[in-house]
Amino acid sequence: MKLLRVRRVARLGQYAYPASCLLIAAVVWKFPPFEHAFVMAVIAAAIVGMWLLLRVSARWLDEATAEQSRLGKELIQSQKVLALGEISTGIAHEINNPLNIILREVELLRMQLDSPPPPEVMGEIQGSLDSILGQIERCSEITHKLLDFARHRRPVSQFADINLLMEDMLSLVERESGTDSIWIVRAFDDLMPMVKTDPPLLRQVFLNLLINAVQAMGKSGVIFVSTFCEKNMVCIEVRDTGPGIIPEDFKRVFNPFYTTKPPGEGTGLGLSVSLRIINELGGDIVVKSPPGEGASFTVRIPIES
Amino acid sequence: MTRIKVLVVDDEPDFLKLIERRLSKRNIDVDVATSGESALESLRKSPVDVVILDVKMPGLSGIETLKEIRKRFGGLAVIMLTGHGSVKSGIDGMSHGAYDYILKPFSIDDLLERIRAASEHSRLKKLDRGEL
Repeated sequence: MKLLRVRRVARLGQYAYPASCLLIAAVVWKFPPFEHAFVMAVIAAAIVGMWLLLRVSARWLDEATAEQSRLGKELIQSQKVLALGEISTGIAHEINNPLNIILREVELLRMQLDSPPPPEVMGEIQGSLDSILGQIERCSEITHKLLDFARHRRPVSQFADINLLMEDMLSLVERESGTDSIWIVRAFDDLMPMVKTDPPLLRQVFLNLLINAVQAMGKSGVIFVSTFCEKNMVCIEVRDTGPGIIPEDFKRVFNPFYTTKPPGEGTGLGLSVSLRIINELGGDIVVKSPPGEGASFTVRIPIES
Repeated sequence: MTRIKVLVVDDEPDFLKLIERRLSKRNIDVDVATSGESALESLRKSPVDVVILDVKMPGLSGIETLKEIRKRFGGLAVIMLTGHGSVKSGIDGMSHGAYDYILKPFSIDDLLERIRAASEHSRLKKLDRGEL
């Protein structure tokens, strides 16, 4: 509100100021000051009035900016709380599922061990124990990944050939996913400069993006991988022909624990870790998903970090 | 330029013998270990620049060994040795912070190239931490 008033005063002022100057000049010309004391007093009063108005609006402006910055802080705070809520839900879900399985298996074990178990039940007991062990490993995997996520990496810079790094990761993924159903199309820029960056961190990011692309497409599809240069950045794009990202999910794809995969298949940390790594290397990741055309992730990193 | 020292971990003694001979010819000092446990023991006694680690081993698996190495010896660069049957472990290794991987069978030049890059990375990490 105050901002609005200040704006009105300022807008009025830019016309009123030259007009009043002209008016004063005209009045002084018409009525020489020493002979018309009353006119002088009126002019002086008008000037003082205007000055007061300016003072007041300056104060309004101060108050308005203070209020705005407070609102901005509140907004950031509420966004943080939202993200924290989502993370907590994610962790709770991830850990709850294995806990439930463990609980069920333990109940079963207890029942079977009520009386000395006959030999044929021993196999089942063994199976239950294996399942419990598996779930515990799953939990420790989650905490391990969480710690890894929170860890601050200090990248060191080495010269690296981006095309070669990508090719290495592609051949891993290609072998793993089987070449029959998933096609990989490469469009590498042969003139890519050597980039000063942290190769193992970058490999990790490339691998994450490729695995996501493969998993997004399910049985079959095409992955387009291209590298190119843009000003002083190198760009690596991984595009798939999967279902794409729905608009509501756009803001959340980088949130930790946000995942569209069935429980137990992804922790939802891949993209958030990748983004962190790329940010630490001084770059960013651009997401695009035109309807019906799959999803595209473009990593952009500075040539000289 | 100091010589690069590597530790090769694989459960096949023949492979170890072969690679030790070939790398020594290229002026690289080689330690060997036949299991994850003995690799960790050996690293504690004599530090190296790069570890070359087979992902498929009985006992402590390659990935477990990698995790332990990352935990105990932080910035040490690890190159995973991956076979055709163990690509999945290779991928796991990369996401657990291995420096690089190499697919068996490999050419010695290719391995050498990766060892050089990895040892440079190891050294830069140590410099960064003020250990050198």
